[in-house]
Amino acid sequence: MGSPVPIPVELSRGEAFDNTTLNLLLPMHVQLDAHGKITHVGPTFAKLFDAHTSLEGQYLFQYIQISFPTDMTTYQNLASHYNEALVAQIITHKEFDLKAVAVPMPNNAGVLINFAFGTSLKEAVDHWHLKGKDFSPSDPTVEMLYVFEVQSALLQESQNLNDRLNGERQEAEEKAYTDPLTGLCNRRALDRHIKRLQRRRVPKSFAVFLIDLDHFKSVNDTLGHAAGDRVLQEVADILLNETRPTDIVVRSGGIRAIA
Amino acid sequence: MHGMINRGLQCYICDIHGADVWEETCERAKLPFYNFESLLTYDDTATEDILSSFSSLIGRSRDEILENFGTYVVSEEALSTVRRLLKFGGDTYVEFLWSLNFVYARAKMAVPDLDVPAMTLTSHTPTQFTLTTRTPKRSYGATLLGLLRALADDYNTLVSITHKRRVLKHVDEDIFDITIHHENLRKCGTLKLVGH
Repeated sequence: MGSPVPIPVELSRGEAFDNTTLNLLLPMHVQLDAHGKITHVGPTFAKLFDAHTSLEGQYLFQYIQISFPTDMTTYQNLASHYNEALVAQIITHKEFDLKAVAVPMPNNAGVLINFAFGTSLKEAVDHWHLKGKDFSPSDPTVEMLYVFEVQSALLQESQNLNDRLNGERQEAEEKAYTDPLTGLCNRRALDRHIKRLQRRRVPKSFAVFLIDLDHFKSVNDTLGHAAGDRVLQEVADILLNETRPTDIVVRSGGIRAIA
Repeated sequence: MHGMINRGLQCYICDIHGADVWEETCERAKLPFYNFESLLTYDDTATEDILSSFSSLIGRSRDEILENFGTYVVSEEALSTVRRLLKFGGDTYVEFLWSLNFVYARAKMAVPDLDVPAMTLTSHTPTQFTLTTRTPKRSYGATLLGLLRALADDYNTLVSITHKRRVLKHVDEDIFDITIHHENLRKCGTLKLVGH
């Protein structure tokens, strides 16, 4: 949620804002007395606990742990980290990281800590069923939620689109490099394969066989093209069975080649 | 029109009337495809052609179709994001209505080229409101009417809404007069039971 909001706890004459004002401006704040006991909680902070939990009069550190800075295990250490960004968790819901900042109240009246959801915002809003008015009217949280929700929906759409396009691309590529009748590679695939063989880092020799089927024309002429196609498919299967997986078998305008 | 809206329309027609009707709608509209992509933006004529061919196919007026589509957007589980975002505006229908003043800017921030009308709400009495929307896209106001009615239902609120359309030089202005008769019907029932 960006850097901590500067907290206007003190007016020019040294008087604090009343709690109604603080609840509006900082609905997730907590006020502590000099011993670390809770004297007041903002309305949204109160929602993070069971309805029957009465937080006032309790020690805040019974409910909250501060994970950063790491030396913040007791209330006494808080004073050395006033005005700094803190990371905190509710002890019953450690999966949510809260951001926080603590400031001393005027006239040594205690400490005010303001919390925010930070990166857990979306999950926290879902979990506690928070609404727009649980945040300060000037807080950009609602706008952020719009961006989150819409962007994640769009990202999902984008992934679906990519999957579809990728499938179509693979299919088109396959079509571009195969002979539709026999499933063998075509002339274009042969060119690509030979280029790849020539590009090898350690040059090795390779062989190209050209095979011609004798009397094939008479099959077509006497038994029809369907029979001719069948012969080609049979030959293709035989050649595929007799070659190694690294070889390719190509049908290129009536010519078969094995590389 | 943005692909999200066209895609929404496609989902609505497919879900409610079936894939056959959708495909026939596309064929009659002479679209070169059957699927809108949410991430693309289409020429406005594609949406217009879909609406008019669907309208003649099922024998319903454009306004009836759009109002139903507005209802579908709010009530359909697959599109729950829309309802969730709108309902984030408040706990009651009135709070929701007030939050509409911010919807245009928020939607524009999330998807800059989405076709959302600018909306202004004014109130006359605590139960009477006027929502005025403006958009350069012509004749889409009935969608919002369906949406407003479906959300009233979602908030268990009994409302009556009248819709007037004004055609201005550069924009359509749609005026919705909303009267709230009963807020939170379900709670009222409970209160009566415990003797209030």
